[in-house]
Amino acid sequence: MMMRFQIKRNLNWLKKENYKPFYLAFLRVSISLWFLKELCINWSGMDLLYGQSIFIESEKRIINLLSLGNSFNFRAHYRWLIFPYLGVIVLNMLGVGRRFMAVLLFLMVYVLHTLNTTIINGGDVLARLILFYLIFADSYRYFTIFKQGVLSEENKKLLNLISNLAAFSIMLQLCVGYFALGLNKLIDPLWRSGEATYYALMNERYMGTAYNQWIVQHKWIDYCTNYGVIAFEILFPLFVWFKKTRKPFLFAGILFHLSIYIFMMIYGFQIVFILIYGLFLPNDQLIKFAHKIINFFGGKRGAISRYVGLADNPITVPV
Amino acid sequence: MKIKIYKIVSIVAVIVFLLYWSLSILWPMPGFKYRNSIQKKIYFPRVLFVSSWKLFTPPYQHDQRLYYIVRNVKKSFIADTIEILGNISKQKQLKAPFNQKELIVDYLVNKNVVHLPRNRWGDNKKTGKDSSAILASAKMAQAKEMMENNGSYQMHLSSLINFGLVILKEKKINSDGKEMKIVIKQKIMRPFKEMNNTNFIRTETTIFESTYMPLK
Repeated sequence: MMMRFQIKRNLNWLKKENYKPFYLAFLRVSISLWFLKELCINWSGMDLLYGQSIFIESEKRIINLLSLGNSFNFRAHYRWLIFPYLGVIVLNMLGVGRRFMAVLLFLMVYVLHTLNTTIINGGDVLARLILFYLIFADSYRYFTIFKQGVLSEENKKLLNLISNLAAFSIMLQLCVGYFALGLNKLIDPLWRSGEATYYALMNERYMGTAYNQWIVQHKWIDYCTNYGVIAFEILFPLFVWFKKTRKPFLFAGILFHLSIYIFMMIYGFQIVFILIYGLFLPNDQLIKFAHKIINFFGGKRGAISRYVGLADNPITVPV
Repeated sequence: MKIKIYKIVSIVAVIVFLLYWSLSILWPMPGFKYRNSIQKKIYFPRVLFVSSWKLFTPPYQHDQRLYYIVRNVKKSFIADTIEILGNISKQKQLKAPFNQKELIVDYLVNKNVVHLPRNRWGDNKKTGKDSSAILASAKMAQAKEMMENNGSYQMHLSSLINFGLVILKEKKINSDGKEMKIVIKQKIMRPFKEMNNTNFIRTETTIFESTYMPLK
C-alpha cells in the first residue's frame, strides 16, 4: 500500500512539469553546434574520412547499403550524405521538424560513425547518446523558430513524464560514465600505485604541450593528479545531486576536462562532457542567467530573443 | 478510456526506463561477463550502450613505432625504411590546437597499429604463453592461419598497407618492382621510478612483423 502510494507520488511529480525545459533546448542547440563544428573542422579531411582517399577498410555492410547493393560507388558520392546531414543539423538547431528531425539526425550520425569507426571516441559515443535521449525530451519550448501549439492536459502530463525521464537519462549517463571510469581505474595496478598520470602525460601521442615533461617530473603532482582523478570520477556521481556539493564538483569537472583538453590534445570529448553539466543546475537559475546575457547583447525585442523564447517567460530579471 | 490509455503509456514508459537503466548501469562495469555474448546475438546494444569506459586504463608504458620497409624485389639489399608514428605525434604537438588533420591521421593509423598485433597474437594470451617466446618460436604456422581466416586482422593489415602506399606516393618513392614489409615496435617509456635517470635508454621491441608483400 505504502509502496503503491510512493510510486503514484513519484509519477505525479514527474508528470507535473518539465523540470529542465530551458537546458534541454540549449543542449539540443549546443550539441547540434558541436556536430556542426566537428563537420567544419573535418571538412578538409572529409575525403580521407569518408571519400575515395580513405585508406582504412571499413564495414562492408553499411557501404553496400549506402551503395544500394553496389549499383553506384558511394565513396565517390559521399557528399550526398554530408550535405543533407548539414541541413538536418541546422534544422534541428532551429527546432524545425522537431522529433522527426531529431530521429533523422541520430540516424545520420550513426551511419557516419559506422562508415569510419576508427576516429570514434567516447565523446562521439556520448554525443550520439545525447541525441538519442533528446528524441524523447521536450526541448522545443525555447530556441525554436516556430512556437509549440497548445496541448491537452493529459498530453502535457505524458510529455512532461517522458521529457523528465530523458533529461534524467542524460544526467545518469554522465554519472555512469564517470563511475565506470573510476571503478576501472581503481582496479588497475598502475592507477592504484599513483603512476598512471605520469605515463598518460608522457605518451607521445597525447603530449599536448612541452610542459608535460616538466610537470611529470614532480612526483607530488603525479600522485595528486592520479588519486585526484580517481576520487573525482568515483565521487562525482554521488555528490553532484546535492545542492551543497554540486557546484564544487561541477567546477572540478570543468578544470579536469580543460586539463585533458590542453595537456592531452583530446578535444571534442571534453566539450560534450561539460555540456551535460548544465542539466544539474535549476531551470530558474539558468533562465535568469540567459536573461542577463540577452539583455547585455541587445534586449528582449530582438530576433535572437524571439528565437530563444525568453520573451514569453514569466520570470523577470531587474536590469 | 482515453485517460486509461495515458495511464498505461506512462507506466510502460517508466518500466522501459527502469529496464534500460538497469542494463545500462551494468553494461560498462568491469566484470560484466555477459556483455560480449549479448553483443554477438543482438545488434542494438552497440547503438545504445557504451561498451566500456576505459580511457587510459591502463595507460600505455610505451610509444608505438610503425616502420615501412620497402625493398627492390631483384636487389633486395637496397631498402628504404620509413617511420611514421613518431613524426605524426611531433606534428600533432607542434600544430596544437589547430591540428585536426594530424589528429585524423593519428586516429586512423594508430587504431590499426594497436589492433593488428592484438589480433595476431590474441590466442596466445588465452593459453597464457609468453608472446615474446612465441614470436621466436615455430608458431608462425598458427599466425599464418589466423592471418588468412581472421577478418579483423585482414582489415587492419589492409588499412596499413593502403596507408603505406599513400606514404610512398607522398615521399615520391617509386613502387614498381618493389615489395613492402610492415614492422610495429614498442618504444619503452622511461619508467616512473627512473624518471630522473637521464641515462635511461628507451629500447624498442618488435611486436609485429609482416612478410614482404609485393607492391602493384
